Amino acid sequence: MASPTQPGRPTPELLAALRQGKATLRHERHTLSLPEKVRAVIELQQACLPLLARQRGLRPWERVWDTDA
Amino acid sequence: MTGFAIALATLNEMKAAGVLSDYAVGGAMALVFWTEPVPTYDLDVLVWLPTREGPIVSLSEVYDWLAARGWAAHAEHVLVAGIPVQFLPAHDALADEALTTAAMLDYSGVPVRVVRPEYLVALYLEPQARTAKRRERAAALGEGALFDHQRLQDIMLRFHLTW
Repeated sequence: MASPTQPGRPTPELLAALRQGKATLRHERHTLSLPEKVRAVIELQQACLPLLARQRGLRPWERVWDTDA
Repeated sequence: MTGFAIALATLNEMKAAGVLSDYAVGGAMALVFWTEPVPTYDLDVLVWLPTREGPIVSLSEVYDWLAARGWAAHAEHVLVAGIPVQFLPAHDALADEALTTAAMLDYSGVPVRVVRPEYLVALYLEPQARTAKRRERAAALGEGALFDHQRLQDIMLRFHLTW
């Protein structure tokens, strides 16, 4: 798709707010409990493994963990 | 449908509804489409918003549209089906080109536009984006079988980027 003729640009303040939002999210993730962190890892595995499988064969250990964490 | 697929389908809905003029998945989750996965907490989406006069000062229209569908904003992210999604308006001509040239791919039956690896590297090499972590990711992308080194050279030359 062609770009809009003159796409609006984000202001420096908005870009700073987006960066700060990312830092806030990262900080919150750091303070999760261990079971919550493990759940986050499993969610990442669920999202990534189908894509990895399309690029190459999955290795035996590359599967979503079967855990109730 | 997994949470990630729902989040991608929501991007397509937003484009169809005119909330976004166009989008392409960027950042660490875009890497996953081209190379090995890397740890990340959120889904970065490069976007063009419908043309408005003047600079973009907030993403409230995007957040309001999603909130009306039950996805709430927090810390400049919107939690869509459990995936924190951050919308990044294209900030310069390189970002525009990354959007224009994005690849149409598929994730579990959901079509999705993804920034091509050469543009992911170029965006990582912009002065305001350079970090050790991103340089490492750029190197990993460059090792991918589908990576077009000539294309990256051309982009770096035109946008005055260096390693």
